[in-house]
Amino acid sequence: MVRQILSDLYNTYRQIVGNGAVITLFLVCVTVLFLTGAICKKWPIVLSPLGTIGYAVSKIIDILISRKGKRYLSAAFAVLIIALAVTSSGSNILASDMNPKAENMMHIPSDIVEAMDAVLADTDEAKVLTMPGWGLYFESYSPAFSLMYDLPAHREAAWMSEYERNAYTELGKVHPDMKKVAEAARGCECRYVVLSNDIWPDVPLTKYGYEIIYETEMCSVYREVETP
Amino acid sequence: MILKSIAAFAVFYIIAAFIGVWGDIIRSSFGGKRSVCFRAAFGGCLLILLGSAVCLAGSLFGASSDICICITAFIILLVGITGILVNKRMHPDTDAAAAPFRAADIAGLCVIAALAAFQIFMAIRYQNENTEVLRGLGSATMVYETGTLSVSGPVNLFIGALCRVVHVHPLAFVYVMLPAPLILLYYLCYLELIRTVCTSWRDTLIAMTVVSLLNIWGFQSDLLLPVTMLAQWYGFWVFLTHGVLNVSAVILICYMQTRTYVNVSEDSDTDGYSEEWDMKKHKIVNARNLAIGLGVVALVLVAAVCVLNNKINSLYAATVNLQDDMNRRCSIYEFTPDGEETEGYLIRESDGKITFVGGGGAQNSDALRDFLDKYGYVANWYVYGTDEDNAGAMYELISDQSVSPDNIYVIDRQEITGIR
Repeated sequence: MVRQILSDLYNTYRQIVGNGAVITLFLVCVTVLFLTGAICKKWPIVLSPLGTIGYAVSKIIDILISRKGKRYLSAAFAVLIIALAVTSSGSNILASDMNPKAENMMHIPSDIVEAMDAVLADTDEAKVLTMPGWGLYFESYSPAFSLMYDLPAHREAAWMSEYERNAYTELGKVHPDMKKVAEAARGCECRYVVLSNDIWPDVPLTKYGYEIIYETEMCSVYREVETP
Repeated sequence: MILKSIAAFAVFYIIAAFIGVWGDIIRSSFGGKRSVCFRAAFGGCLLILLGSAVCLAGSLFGASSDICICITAFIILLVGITGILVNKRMHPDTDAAAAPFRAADIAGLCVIAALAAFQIFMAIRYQNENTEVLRGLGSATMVYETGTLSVSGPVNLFIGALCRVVHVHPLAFVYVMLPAPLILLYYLCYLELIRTVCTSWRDTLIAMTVVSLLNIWGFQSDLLLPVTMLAQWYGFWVFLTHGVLNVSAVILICYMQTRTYVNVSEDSDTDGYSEEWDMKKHKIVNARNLAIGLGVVALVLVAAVCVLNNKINSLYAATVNLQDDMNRRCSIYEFTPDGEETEGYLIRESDGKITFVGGGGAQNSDALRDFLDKYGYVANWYVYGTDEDNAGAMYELISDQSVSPDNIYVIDRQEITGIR
């Protein structure tokens, strides 16, 4: 039981702080500042973690340069260690795989913008079922959209209704069962379904009472067929 | 749009400088030095705080966004004018002239300016693939389209109200018009905080460079995305963490320094420090050795974290595509309703098509229904015979419409003898 608790704590810790390097860096820097006496009248700087780290680094380099002897060598060595520590403190948020070139001013893929415009051209208020993660595009584009589900990245799907959970689970697969998706969409009164073209269902959604009203390279927009 | 962005930048900092006079007043009342950067930083934070507070109050009282913007403008005017009047009544500024910049200081400032400009450019030109960065902007869009305020993130409400005034969609506003003023504002807040604690420009520039690099390698986790400056510069938590806290720390430090008189001039601080250093340098356990020791410990910790992180990432990479890989291969699954005898086989081909062979009698129908539900639509079904013992389960599943295969075949299980 203790192991389970420790394991859960560790998982939660990793979920929150990632690899934990920046916290370690911050604690080391606070320790350095206390030991060098540089923080006595300036303790409010700990309100700013990044500022604290920057200040501590400047103090360390200042100490090394003030020494007699191989001061510049020590300072260069310190700079190397610090650069290593900083670059491993987290992930590069400007890395190309996380940041493709923006296709438009809104920073939403153009195909999805076209899909949203197609739905808005068809109706004034649309309840939409879409791929996990795409809901925020719809929500921030227009208040006319209401979404079937919205699952923040760190939340579990257990709190969703059965329909929402089925749709969310199926649309996360490469080969989703469109029968379940269609049932979930109807159950939650979603007249529109916007799906990525990167999934390959065995049976398309058109077999379950939905028709394609718009298609782009990236996604397809389906609308429920109205029964007379 | 470029003209609108430039105009927004200019208007933001003009207003910030106008109401930022209160920052100078507060700081000089604590004996601190006045500075243009702190005035801009304080004024910018105050502007956003005022606008957000008014819009949040407006959402509670059901006011429209246009009225809230008018009230905000009025409050800004009032705050700015009273600040100027109070500032004039105070004793004139008798701060000593700032130390002249050296060439190295100017070079360092240029490096930091280049880093900040690079980050602003990246924020405008490139989009973050993590859609979580858009969380909360829906309320800004709601305000922009309808003019009504709802109780939600105050900064988002303020953004929505401003977008309605300038007739720009909130997404375009935050991604094209806001990066330059806001990211610069946060760097001004950091600059002022570090200048308050550091005793020389060299130290300030080193610290600012570290802060810039920490922002670039700033992504910790999805949960900490709301405080990651280069991901959500327009968010409430980023504004609080990188703006308000820094400015508050500056004011607190100035206040702390006035409580006990400390000579903060550069020369005396340097003299005192080197005397202290001379006294301490002969000790084994002195600041230098401790710093070196801590540096080694930090290096070991960082190395351990990197190794563990790499191991976890490689495990994750190995497993994340596992399910996709399995789905893309031809796979065979056994149907064993009672856990002992195999009554059928399910074949999933590499293109996802499913073929089922067998099934047995009607007594297997429930178990077979559950089994097939896991894999999806059966395209082809092969049975060993048309009698109840071999096709009973199939008949039952088709009759209650649990399955509807495209093709059904009967396998003629005749053994070929005499061939050997």
